[in-house]
Amino acid sequence: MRLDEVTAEIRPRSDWEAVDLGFAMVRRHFWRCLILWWMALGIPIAVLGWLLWDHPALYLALIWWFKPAGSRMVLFELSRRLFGEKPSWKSIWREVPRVWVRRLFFRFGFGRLSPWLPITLAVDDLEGLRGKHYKMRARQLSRRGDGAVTWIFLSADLATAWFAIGLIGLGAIMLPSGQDAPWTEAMQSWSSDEPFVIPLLVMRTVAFATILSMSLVDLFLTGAGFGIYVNNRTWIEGWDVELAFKRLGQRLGKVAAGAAVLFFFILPAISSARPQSMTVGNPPPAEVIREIKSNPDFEVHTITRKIPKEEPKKSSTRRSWLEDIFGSIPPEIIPLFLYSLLGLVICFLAWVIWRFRHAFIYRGGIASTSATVPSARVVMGMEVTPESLPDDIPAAVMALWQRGLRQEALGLLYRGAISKVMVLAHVEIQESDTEGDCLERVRHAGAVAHPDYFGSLTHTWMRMAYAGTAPADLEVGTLCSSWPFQALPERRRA
Amino acid sequence: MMVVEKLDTLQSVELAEGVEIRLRMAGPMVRAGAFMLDLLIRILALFVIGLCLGWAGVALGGRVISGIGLLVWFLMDWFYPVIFEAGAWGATPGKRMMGLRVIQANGSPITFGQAMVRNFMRFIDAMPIFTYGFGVASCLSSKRFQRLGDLAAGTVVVYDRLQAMPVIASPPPMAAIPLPVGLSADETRALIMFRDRSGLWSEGRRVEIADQIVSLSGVAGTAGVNRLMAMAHWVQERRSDAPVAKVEKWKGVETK
Repeated sequence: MRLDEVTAEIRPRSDWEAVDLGFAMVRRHFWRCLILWWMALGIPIAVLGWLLWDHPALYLALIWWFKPAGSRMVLFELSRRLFGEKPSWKSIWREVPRVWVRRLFFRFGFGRLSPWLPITLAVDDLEGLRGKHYKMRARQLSRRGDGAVTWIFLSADLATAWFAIGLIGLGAIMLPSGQDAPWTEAMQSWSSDEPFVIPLLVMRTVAFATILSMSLVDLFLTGAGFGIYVNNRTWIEGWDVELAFKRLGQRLGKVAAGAAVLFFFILPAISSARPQSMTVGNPPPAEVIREIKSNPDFEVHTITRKIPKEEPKKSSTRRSWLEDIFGSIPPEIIPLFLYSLLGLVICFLAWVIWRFRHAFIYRGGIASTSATVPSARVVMGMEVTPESLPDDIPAAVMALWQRGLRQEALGLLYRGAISKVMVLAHVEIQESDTEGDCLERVRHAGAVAHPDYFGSLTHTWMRMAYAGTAPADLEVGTLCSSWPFQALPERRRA
Repeated sequence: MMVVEKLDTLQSVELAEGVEIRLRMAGPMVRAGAFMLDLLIRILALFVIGLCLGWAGVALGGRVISGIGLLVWFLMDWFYPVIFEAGAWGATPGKRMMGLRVIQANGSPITFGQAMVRNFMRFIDAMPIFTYGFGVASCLSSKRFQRLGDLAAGTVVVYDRLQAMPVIASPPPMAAIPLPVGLSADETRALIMFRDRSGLWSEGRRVEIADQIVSLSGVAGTAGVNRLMAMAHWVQERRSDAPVAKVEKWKGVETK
């Protein structure tokens, strides 16, 4: 299990891309994963099926509860495959009884209902952590990607039921005509008086279709959980950077001693799993934090104020007022009216959700991409920061021009103008903008950016830069003397 | 060791200009989310249109309105995705909210005809009995997550928006050290990433990663981490006013 033999591209991904990677992993090893899933759950399914032949609902519930055993086998295969290892059948057979009993009381007890199951199963099985270390590690790993993890958890059972319906439908299509007599009979005996007494045949069909669908859905969703797990570790442990560094180290011809053998799953290289390694000589961080927090500055003060309750006023006129309104409109419009009202209520709710959408959207610790774009420092290869420019641009330009440095002079004038419109008129110019884009943005900004002056300057500069046609001395003189971008008032020359 | 092609959800496409772009294929789960959003939008739209028609029905009479209603329903069902995907967005509103887009397998925007083929094939994809079982199975078994409609029309669904990488850098280094050897673009990127993401890693982990390239930094341990940070700082800033440090020659370093 060495990181440089990894068989999937390790790069930091978004959560959904990590889910997709998991799907792709399962697709690559689909048949083996499916066989392994059935190796873990085939025996319970067969034995319980025989014992509970007359209680299909209980049977289904038990198999569903025991599902993580199958997920564990899939995880076993995928994790070995990720590191270029093909598990032998012998090791697989040895794994089968272990997936039934490993952390039996937690995993098949309370922990079965944990929404973090797709991720924490990997912490259990692959890293072998228990107790306090397990808790810390699970919390650390679920800090990222929990939106996608919750969706995986929720959709697992939904998709299972959904595709079970699909399988039953498929069976109905494929059934040779005339062979559906027992089914029709069962459906007819299902009386509408007692809808909860489902005929055995129907219930058995549902149970087996659900188990079949469960095995397929669970394969892919376990893969998705593993994808997220790998992605989270890539983020918090920098796997991709380590791989790139390893390659660089090999290129430079000197592999660091002792770094060659790193067992990733067995020795998770994080501080939480072995806190003693990084605190040599220092007091443990928890103690330092407690010490700092005991300072009076960190004391939390609470003030409770009581606000007197207002007595609600009772209106006695309300009923008659409502009756007046409803009495005056024709009765067939009332439902329409109520539906409109319902529409308004839905609109209001939608507005409330939209208004407070930040509480629903999960960004995975990533700030919004639409945050303010920093203004450009370099435009068209020319530096435009105010610090890179002389205080008195026209004078500097004239000096350059008279020394015969025409290109430099006009270049300075042009980038000076760009810098000024960015600073004074707050025109947002991007690094990738062309001259035409800049002019367009300046025109858009209005009179404060002096678009006419900027337009003629752009024209002159483009002729100089691209056609090599120098303007007349007079024209440059005019451009300098009509320089409209004066600095802030206090810096204006007397 | 057997050489396996590294698994990824990217698809390289070479454009006519000789430029290679990489498309990020979107899988069935995120697309199912987009489908649910679209379903919700369509139901809401039908509700609103139904209300308007209901009010109009007071004036026009029931039969005309029910005819118009059925027509609207038909158009919404069959042409809602076609119109949006063939349009400038290249995505239905649901897909757009999930950051997805439909394009041709060669990277260009889809045509109206493709949008039509793609969405009329939904009828097949939705089988058996509207569970989308065939579509999901096809999506999961094809390399580019294509459902049957996608395969027929030669289209793919890709992620359209790049998520910004969080920069959680550790405190800036005091010095800038020039790189002792030339690095390729990928290697430089890795060095900068080391600095930008190091805030996410523990002290011990940073040392572990930095120890992979002792041959670049020259020292192991925390000192090596600091040297790498300083180099990354130098690469990122490229300050012209920084003193031209003498390039030390590291033992055992071969420059190609």
